[in-house]
Amino acid sequence: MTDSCQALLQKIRAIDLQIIDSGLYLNANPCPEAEAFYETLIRERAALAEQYEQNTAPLTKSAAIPVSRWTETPWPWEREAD
Amino acid sequence: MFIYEKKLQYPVKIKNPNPALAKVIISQLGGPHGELGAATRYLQQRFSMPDRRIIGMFTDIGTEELGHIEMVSAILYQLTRGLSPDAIKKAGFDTYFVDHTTGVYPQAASGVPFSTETLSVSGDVFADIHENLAAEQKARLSYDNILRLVDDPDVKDPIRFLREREIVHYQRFGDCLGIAQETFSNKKNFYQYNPAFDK
Repeated sequence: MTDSCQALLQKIRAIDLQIIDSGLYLNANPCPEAEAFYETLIRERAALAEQYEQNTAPLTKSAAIPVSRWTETPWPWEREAD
Repeated sequence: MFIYEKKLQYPVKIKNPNPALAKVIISQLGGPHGELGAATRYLQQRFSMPDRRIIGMFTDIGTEELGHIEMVSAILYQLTRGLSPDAIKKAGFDTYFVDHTTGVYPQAASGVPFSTETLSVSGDVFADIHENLAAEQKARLSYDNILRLVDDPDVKDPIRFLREREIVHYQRFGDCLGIAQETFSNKKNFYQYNPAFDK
């Protein structure tokens, strides 16, 4: 994986952690400001994922177009995926 | 990484609670041929598979099995709603109820709790693929036996769906065996060595 793809994936991991963490908090603690922040993250994440999937590999099976990309690109535990 | 989709793979809508049926169907959650074992088995076996196509198949089937854990659990939940103590005793559900109330605990119909001994991760490509072919047949036969014991069409319908999926998965593990034989054996023998370990 190229350095720029690697950097993009790291960005997705970082934003995913923000989404997961703020999502957990919002499950039990409604707060309009935090909800607006959450929605911004979701939109930003979708844009990053689209960029990554176009250039590198599908993140989900439904993003594997053509579907052969699902079984051609490395699996996350392969060293080539680093 | 896993994400959750807020839907059942196939709808479960059971009008009449029936704890006696839940007592047998629970085996497809936590019994020796159950969905919890299947999902865990395939997802854990992926790491010793040396072919990306086979890993893809194990990932997709293992993920679908996670959805089947949820479907069987939904069936159990709906079969045990709104029970009176009398109904619980009459159905023989009291032996489960005493420890789990109407919670959905993974156990076999015999009462044995889910055991990781029911899932095999051998680290051997051919052994694991054969294990999975057998596992799909065993799950299919448990669903067949459940269908022999069930009259309620609301219950039969999702159980039939799950049974069909076992058959499809059996076919696809057959494809995996074909890929492994094509790629890793001399084609004259079904099995030569373990391509995950012996290079």
